[in-house]
Amino acid sequence: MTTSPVPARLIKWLLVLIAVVISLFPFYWMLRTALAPQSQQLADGLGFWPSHLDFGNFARAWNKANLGQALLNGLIITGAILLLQLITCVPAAYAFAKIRFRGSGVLFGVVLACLLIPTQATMVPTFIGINIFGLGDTRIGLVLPFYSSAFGIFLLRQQMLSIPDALLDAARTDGLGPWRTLLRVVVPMSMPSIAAFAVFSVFTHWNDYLWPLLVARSPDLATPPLRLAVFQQADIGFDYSALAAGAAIVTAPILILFLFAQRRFVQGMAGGEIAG
Amino acid sequence: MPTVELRAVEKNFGTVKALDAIDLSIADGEQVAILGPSGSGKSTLLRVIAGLETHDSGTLTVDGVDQRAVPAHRRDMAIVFQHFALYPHLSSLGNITLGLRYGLKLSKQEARARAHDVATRMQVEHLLDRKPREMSGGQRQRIALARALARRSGVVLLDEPLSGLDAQLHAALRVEIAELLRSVNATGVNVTHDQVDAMAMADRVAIVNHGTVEQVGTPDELYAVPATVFVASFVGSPPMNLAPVGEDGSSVFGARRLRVDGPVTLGVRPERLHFTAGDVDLDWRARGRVALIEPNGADRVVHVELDTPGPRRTFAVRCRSGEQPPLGAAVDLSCAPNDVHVFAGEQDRRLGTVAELGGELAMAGAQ
Amino acid sequence: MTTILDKPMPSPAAADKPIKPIDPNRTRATPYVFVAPAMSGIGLFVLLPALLSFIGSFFAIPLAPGANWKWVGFDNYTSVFGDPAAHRAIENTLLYCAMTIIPSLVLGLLLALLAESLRHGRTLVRTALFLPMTANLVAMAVVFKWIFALQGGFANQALAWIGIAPVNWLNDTRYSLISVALVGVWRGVSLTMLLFLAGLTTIPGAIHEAAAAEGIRGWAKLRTLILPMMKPTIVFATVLSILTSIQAFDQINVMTQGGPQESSETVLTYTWKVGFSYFQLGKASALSFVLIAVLIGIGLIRRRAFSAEQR
Repeated sequence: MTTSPVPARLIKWLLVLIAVVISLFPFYWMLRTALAPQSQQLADGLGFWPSHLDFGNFARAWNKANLGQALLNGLIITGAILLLQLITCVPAAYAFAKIRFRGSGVLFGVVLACLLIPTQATMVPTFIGINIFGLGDTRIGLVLPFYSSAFGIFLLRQQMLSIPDALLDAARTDGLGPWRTLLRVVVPMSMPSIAAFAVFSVFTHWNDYLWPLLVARSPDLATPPLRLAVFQQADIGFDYSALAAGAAIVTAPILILFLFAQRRFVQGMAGGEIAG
Repeated sequence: MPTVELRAVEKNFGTVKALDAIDLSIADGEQVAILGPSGSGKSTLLRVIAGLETHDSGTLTVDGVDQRAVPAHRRDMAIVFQHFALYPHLSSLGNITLGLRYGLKLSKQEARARAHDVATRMQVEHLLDRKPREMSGGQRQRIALARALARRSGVVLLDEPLSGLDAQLHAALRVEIAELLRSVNATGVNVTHDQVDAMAMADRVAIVNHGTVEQVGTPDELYAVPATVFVASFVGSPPMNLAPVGEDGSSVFGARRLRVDGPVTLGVRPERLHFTAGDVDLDWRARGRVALIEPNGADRVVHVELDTPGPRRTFAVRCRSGEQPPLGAAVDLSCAPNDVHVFAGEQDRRLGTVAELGGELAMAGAQ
Repeated sequence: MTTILDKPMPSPAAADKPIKPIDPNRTRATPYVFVAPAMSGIGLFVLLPALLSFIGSFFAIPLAPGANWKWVGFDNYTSVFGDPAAHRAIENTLLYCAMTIIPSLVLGLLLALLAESLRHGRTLVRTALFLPMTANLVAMAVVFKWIFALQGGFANQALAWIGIAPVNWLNDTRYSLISVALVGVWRGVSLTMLLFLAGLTTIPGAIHEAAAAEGIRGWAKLRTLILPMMKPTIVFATVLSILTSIQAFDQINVMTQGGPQESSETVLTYTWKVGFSYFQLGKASALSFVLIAVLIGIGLIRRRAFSAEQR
């Protein structure tokens, strides 16, 4: 790290550059395709930038794929899931991290086991159950299976473990009671990890494709990725310009969220300690 | 103002006995320090008094009222936690008022008024808007103390309140806290592993070891008449010189033999040993070689390696600067019989000095 | 929150007031109240379905509500084992895992170390390398489909530029699985790199200073200090990579739909087809369980190897 010889540093930078190019290339290609006129797609070849810029692709994608509705659906569903997950996971994580109670070991073992159960083991019965209760093809059916999150409990607990016990003793002698302790001490102190988990949850459920594909049969309920997938299978399948524009529209909100929340997210996932 | 009484208090963690038959009474307005090494159970004792742990048996009363069913925040007590335990996301004001508002159910104005009152008295008003991370260790300590005092409780419990502060601040705050607690007439219970803190801040000190109270007394009593070998070895710097007596009655004081029945330990304070060539008949003497000289301001602590058979043993001798023998010199040590403490029995309890026990124990001259 | 009580407040010192004892039931119940909503969620939507899925694999399950399940014993399993398409799907899943997990872990670690050692532009490089993880996989699959397109796709244009004949990436049985695996790696590296970067920051600075003082550098430092200290991160990243890879679905469904001729069919896409296109839900459950059994088997072998190495 101190004084590597020049060739070593050059090689390092070269490798980093290659990685960055590969990592960013699909995004660049998406924008390039989305901005080029449809007719120019094949003619432009490998040129770095399209010969003409054409924003009509975005309008075409927005209208034909009805992306406005899809984005709204995505927002409602992702928001509802996030809210429910925070309400269920934060208290549970606190109890697992800081309260001794009979059965906590077994219950937390269940949480860990659930972390490892893949979607395919649960997909079929969950789908049948949702249909039995008449929730297939409803917003509730899209949200309900995710109202709790084993990963959320796990991640938040991990961070809450680092809250000093003395602070919780102080809360007890201050007479805060379990709910006030949770809301006034534990939650403010766990903000970094709560933020990290929130970002994670939004990523996961905004981007989720499998479950909406099963449940949201009517086009009105489609989430952005589902809408886009249907769009590319339909008649417009070879209009890559419109598809790329649609992809850009679907990707943008999460990308922007990530750029804003990056520091918090990375810190939270890194198990960053609580300031104090 | 309350008196705190513990009678035969016991606390177990699983199979580990953390507190074993603790008896302790703390008088109204008294400052008591609980002194012990880490793992001795002193923090558990404080937590039981505070109500953060419930004891398994025995009674704990405050002013005669049994505290068993009283939750921590309803006890007439405030606690200053180790490492301060300030809420990191709240300002000092928020830290002080949180418990007043939700624990004592004061109104917002009343809680604020109290916080300002106590802050003014402690001259920390300028810190009220700051968050813990914006303050130095000493400032945090003062806010933690202000938080405790704002409760206006009869009893203030302090858990290692000075740990983690640098030496100078430590010494200054030691005095400041003691004065403050006396000025508000609070009964103070201060848990510490630092004997200097205990001696400086407390009227009486309880020495705790292995979950039991070994001795309770004023600092002078503990020093002059340690009840057990443990107290003798824990109080004083350097601590009392201790040496077991062999089964045949031989001791480090070569010329003296004792009639023993079970294990016996002899102890002498470093300042009671003298370098003498003289032969006062009554004195107890030992021989050795100077192994290390510790300068200590006006004093010198001379470590003498004794010429006794068996395991290596050194005695510390305190003398005035300039009176110490050179390093490596062979020296004679002597002390008066009434400075030699005798400990014996299962708990290594003090029986008295050699002078007091003379007839029963010591045999003059060789057998 | 700001209820102001103007009654005279009882001082805690007021011993004449009767003191309310702690209600032991209330305090004991609190943790259960805290965990109950979350546990009900994962119980109902993870644990119970997993169990039902196992039970269901022994039944013929009609999709219509109220219709009865019919016990068929091991028929679903014999059907899976006798089904060449299922064989193909399991084989492809294992191949896909091999093609994605190892490159993701190795490249992720390498990039994390590189990104950590940069002195300038570290944040910018990190952000660039994190982006694949955040992107919507369906959207990116749409883009990749265009990149891998036979005519006019970037991949083939690039090949033509260096004089190689175009490859039918998505519609040739030899290349389809590799193509979707490339997308999996593109994204997987990003995730593992994040985890490894996080792991690297947990190594205290004093360790680096001690290593520098003792002259431990480069490969030796990586092997003797960094990797052993990152063991928990490595285990976590491996588990997460395995889970992500066996659950690969999005890009496959968009780019190849398992084709051509099942050449990129994985257990999840095939389960999906069996279950929700052919409505053989019992068989779909059996298929899931065969894969899970394989995974548990791999996990146990790995664990044994790991603990043997510890000894």
